[in-house]
Amino acid sequence: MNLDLRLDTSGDFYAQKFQPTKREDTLILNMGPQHPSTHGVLRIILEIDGEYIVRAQPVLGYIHRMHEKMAEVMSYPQYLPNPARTDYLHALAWGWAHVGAVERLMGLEVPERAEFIRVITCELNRINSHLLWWGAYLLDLGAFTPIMYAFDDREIIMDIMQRVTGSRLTYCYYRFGGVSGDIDDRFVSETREQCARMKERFKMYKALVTENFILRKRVEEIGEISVDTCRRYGATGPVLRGSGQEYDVRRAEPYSVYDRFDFNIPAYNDCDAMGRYLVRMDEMQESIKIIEQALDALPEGDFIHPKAPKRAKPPAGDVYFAVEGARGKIGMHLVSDGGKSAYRLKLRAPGFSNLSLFGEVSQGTLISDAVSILGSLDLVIPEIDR
Amino acid sequence: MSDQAEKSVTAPEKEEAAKTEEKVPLYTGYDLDYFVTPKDLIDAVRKLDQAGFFLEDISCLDMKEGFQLVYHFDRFDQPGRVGLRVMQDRENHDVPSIHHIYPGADWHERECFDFFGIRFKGHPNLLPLLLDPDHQGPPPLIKDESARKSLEELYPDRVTTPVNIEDEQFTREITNCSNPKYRNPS
Repeated sequence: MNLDLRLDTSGDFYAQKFQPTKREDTLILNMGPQHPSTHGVLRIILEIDGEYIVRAQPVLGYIHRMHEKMAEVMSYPQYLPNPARTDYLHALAWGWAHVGAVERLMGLEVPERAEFIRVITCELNRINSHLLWWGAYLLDLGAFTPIMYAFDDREIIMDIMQRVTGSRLTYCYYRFGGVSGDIDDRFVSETREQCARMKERFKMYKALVTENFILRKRVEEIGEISVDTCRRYGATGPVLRGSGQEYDVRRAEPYSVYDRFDFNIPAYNDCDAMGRYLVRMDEMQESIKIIEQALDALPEGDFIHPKAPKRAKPPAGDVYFAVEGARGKIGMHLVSDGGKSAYRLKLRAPGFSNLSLFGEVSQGTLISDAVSILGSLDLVIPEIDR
Repeated sequence: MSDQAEKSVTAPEKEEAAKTEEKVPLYTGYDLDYFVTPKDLIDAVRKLDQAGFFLEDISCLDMKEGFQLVYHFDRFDQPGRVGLRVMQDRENHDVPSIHHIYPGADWHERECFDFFGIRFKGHPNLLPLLLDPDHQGPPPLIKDESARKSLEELYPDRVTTPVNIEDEQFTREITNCSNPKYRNPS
């Protein structure tokens, strides 16, 4: 009797739809949705040949909350805290994309001081996001100590942010036409202190981790992604820059006051996990450069436009607003019919596009390398599932 | 705050915006924006692919005329956003899948299938992506009939007739889509 156990009808909907190939020596394996290296609830169905991946298919939706429907039900100010809940690590960039889209549609002006405050806080948040990625990625690869150092730095930044924004992780700080509260001298001096401290820490990180032989064995020449693959899948952010393409929304499509600052867009031609690692390490230093320039040039004035509407009601129209998040291009496509809530708000999550190339890139790699590739994509599952 | 007070606050803003609009049109985020027929979509997307664009996302709207699919494209080396809009009948879906040109479109199309129930022709794996496969009932972003708006209401003073993509002008426009006015505001 010829019984093919791989055509077992057990398993859920997705496992049954994931038909094995004609090969007889492969095995179907579920990775996640509770696997520690997936950081949340990502599930990947793998067809493996020994330790090698033949085919991989991510299964999404375990933390789907329908933020797009909420945008149609809630009024614009009610929706303000929502974007932060999609990507909890770079909450401010998502909030910015939302207020930016509404401001663009209303033609609302933002005072210069508010723009500077947005840049400073958003960049602090970006450093925080990259630090957590750094710690967690190394944890995946078996190094426990770095996450302790990362959280040490994060803690200080979160304390600074808590005083002005009122929260530590899911910030709701930006308003239509400005920010909810002004920054004070203590914020400025503490931020400067932290910037100076971080510069020393980066040197230590480089000596302790980046040049570590064991790490390099795990990331160099692993998960090579070409620029064309990024283009076909729409991958952006450090994933694209790690492939050597200098594309950053802050430069390509300048919003706010980013065109006034002098900063580099780090890019590495290696195309591997190490390239993406180095891009993020360099980006934190570029963020510090931006913060210091913004603090030096911080203008006086209002932190919110005096005529900013309490209850925004944009005219009918269709706008797209994109910002550079820690994971790539965050886009909001807002369509309004002139009502109190959006007619349609489409969220573009950078992680969604970045993860979609995993199926292609992981083919033929070892399972342990797939963990390294997944980590180097810097996935935040609530952002992908929305 | 009452509705009246709100109006008095936003009215000067609107006037200001209208004034600046006469000089430089307010940037909507789109450098170019076209309506195309479902039949022409594949050819238009292929032209964008050849011009080096990447697919940002596929957005969908439920309106009186049916569904409107909005494909957003952008470019790495010469940024500029191009929007392609395709109108779909509510019942008969004839929009083709573009996954064979942009494999990244696979998931975006599955998302539109989830939220609006649009069946893309030729999609290899049109399964629920974000929703539970056991989800019962209509797709969640379908609007009530009374809440649907028409093209004229949402896009006042806009030409909504599909463009002829065979035209040389279309190819020329997408090749030079970067508008320096928007790209370098300083």
